[in-house]
Amino acid sequence: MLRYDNYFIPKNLAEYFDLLLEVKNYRIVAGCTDILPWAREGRAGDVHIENIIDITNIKELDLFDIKKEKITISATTTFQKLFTDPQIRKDIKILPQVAVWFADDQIREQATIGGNLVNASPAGDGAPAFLTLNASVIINGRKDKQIYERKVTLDKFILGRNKVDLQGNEILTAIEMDNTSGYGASFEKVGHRRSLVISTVCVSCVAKTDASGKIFEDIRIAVAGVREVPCRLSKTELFLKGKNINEDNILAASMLELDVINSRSRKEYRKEVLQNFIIRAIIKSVSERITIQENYFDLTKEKQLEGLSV
Amino acid sequence: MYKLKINLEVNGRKINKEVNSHYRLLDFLREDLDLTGSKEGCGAGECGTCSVFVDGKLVKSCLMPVAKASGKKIETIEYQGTPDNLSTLQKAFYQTGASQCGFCIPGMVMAATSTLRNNPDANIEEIKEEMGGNICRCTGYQKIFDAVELARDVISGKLDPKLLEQYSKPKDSYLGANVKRIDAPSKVTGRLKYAADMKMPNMLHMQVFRSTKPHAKIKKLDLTKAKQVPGVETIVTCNDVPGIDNFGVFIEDQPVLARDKVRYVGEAIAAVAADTLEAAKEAISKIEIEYEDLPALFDSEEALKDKILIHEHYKTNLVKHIPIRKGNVEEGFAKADLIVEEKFSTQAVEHAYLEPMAGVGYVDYDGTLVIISPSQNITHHRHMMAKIMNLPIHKVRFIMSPVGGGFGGKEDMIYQGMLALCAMKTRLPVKYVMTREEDIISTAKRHPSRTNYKIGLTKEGKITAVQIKMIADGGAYGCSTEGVMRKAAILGAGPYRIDNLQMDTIGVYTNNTPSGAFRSFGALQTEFATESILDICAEKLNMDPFELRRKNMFVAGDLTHTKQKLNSASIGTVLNELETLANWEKGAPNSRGQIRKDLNSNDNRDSCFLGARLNDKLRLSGGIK
Repeated sequence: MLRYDNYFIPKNLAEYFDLLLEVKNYRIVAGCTDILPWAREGRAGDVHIENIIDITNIKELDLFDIKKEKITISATTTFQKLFTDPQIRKDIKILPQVAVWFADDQIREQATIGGNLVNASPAGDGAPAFLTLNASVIINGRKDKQIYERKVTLDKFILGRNKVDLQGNEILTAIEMDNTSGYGASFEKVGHRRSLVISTVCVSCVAKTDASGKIFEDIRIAVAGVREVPCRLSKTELFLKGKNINEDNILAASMLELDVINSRSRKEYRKEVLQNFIIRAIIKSVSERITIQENYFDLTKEKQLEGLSV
Repeated sequence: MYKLKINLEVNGRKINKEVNSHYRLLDFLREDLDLTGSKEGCGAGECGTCSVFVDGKLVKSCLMPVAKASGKKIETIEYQGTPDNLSTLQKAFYQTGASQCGFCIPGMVMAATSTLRNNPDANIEEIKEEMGGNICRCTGYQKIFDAVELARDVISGKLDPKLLEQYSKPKDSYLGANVKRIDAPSKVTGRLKYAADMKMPNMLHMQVFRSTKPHAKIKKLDLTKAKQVPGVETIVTCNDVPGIDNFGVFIEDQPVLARDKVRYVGEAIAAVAADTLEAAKEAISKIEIEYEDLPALFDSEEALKDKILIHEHYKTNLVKHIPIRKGNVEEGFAKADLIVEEKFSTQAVEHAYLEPMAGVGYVDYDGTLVIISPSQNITHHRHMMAKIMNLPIHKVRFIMSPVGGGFGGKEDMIYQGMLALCAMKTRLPVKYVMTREEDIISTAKRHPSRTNYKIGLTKEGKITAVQIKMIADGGAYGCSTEGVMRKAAILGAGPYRIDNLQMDTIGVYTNNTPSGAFRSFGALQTEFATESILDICAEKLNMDPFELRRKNMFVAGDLTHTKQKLNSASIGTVLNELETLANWEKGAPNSRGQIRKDLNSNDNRDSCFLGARLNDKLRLSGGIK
């Protein structure tokens, strides 16, 4: 059971920073979908925190700006918004895809993208998707009564398991990402069931073909669930860029970086799944332009072994 | 307790109230407003029994601090319809028989309502996807999905609303007839009160201090600090038991609260009753205990060696051995052309009823001890309780509250004794509601089993002999182990003619969580082995598995392995139905090519996928199409 004495809902950043000076023993929350299950037997048990500070009503965090090149959305944007917003569905296809795999419709109404990133769970679904959008996080802090802002790329922001680059009184306020209009996208995830499941392996991929539809003009792939910090597969991306979209290239690419797996358990299983996911994610990302039969990739034992030895 | 002021609208009522600041929206609805249609099945956002609308969006109220709900409009199941004026969806749930235990149903109705509000023409895949956050343990979901599709088509005008009231009249049999479930209106509206929903004046809340050790002597139990917590009315231990502190369904081996030693992680040691749940929890955290670890036993075969004894006075860890001897297995195996030997094991399984254990105990005006709980075996519990409390049987009353799913899990008496002790001692009503985690750790599970199997067959596929030995892990207490061993022995060899049978089922004590009753009551473990080995034999004999079974199946007039005469035998009919419905590709299991011909036929289910609502080409069902 989570017990607390006070629940503060500051209305703006100034009020928020003032509050941090006034109260001790606090926890900052947004959607609360993680903290309540955390304070139960088997995890943290009964927890008493004097003060809860809820940032979802801070007016500076009311931000949803979609421009041609970049989109900037508030850290308190819910995952369900990523699923339902028509413009996001049209232009940034990876986001509704990651959203549909994230928890369930009801939890997505509360869970925020900022909370997902700040938790920095190795199995978090949000980070790999945002990584493929070259995301940066916007951080606000206050020093000598002055509110400042800094921007960090997402790969630098996540430092380790449950560890991010937030100093002192800093707060994650927004996330800036590429508008990937014209890109195809795919999010692959596996866990024990369909809804409400923690990723064992997940792969995010966005890709764009050239005008002919035959060549990978841009492709970005990120993985999570298989290591402490999610990461991009840059060697794989580099290998594919400018190459023909065909079975042989995709198969070769799928083997290049399986050594990113550094999980505590089920490594061999994860390798097999990861390779299949990479293949499937690439095909799905370009499937609007080109038809490749997925069952071409009959990963026979030899091909798999070849892949695993890389 | 710290309070905060909230101002909100619930089911059209404006509410201005001071509430406990740490309350979740669910606590506020249930405790302060008595809107108990929203249930707490897990408290961790996993099950959806607490789904409510907040400003028109469906959320899980166990994951929302009440402070967040201030200024918002809340809509609960109580606003959807009443038993005499059901909403279309509720009528559809009623018509299709979607409400069984009913515990998930208020949340299901809410999720279905949300789904059809968001997308009035949702197709079946979209319905499944959007309702993915709600769990049902009884129905297998089919009737729920049928209800949502029926309601959708009635609302859109495609179907006649009269269909909502259409039930079939059973002619010769109720089997296959769609009869009205008379309890459905109270369930689909969330009006039915389960034990956790009940409230009485001056009611206390009970919490339990549990063992963290699998096997240990209790050297010291200090309640001093716990008793000083304001609001605590009583703390009971084994020393408070007035009668015979030994109970059990078959073997009386269990104390209400651990006596001298603990035998499994999660065993109850002391129970606190206090005026608030929070005070009871605080008192639990202040109980001090010193253990002396004892060597623990986790392996059922190791248990049979009796090197470590779980119950010393029994001098053995054997709970029950049921032998069946029929014919002569040596002779039978001698006649066999094929002999297969295999080992099978099954694991402990949690019942996962949606309603966690809960109960209310009080002493009535005439001194009668009353226990209200979702017990599946109240008469037996009542008799056990009379002995424990040293009361004449007419001074003990058990009332069965609606069972929010049992599956055998509520058959063994688990916590009712503690409720009785607290109620008798304080003479106040006492309520106890387990959390999901507590329920999983402390209540009985399905028996984990290990089976050694030997079967002999002629090359024509006739079984000549079967030898089965199953060792089942009964855990720390006897519970239903004896009965489970009986059922496993009686039914385990399956509905097949076997002239020579040697069957042994053996239940043992270990320091694992007690095993108890669970659907099929032991037959599953041995029958799993039987059916698996028959498939293996079919492969070795190059024979169709259906044919192998038909050659050996019981027919009317046969005697079962325990000499019961069968007036009818339906296995033949069942096999025929199965074969047709599955579009079974005939042949031995290993005779097919890489792809079975009976896959992906009309009656097969597609594998799960997500993204039905993404409305693009990415519908993935077994590959890109």
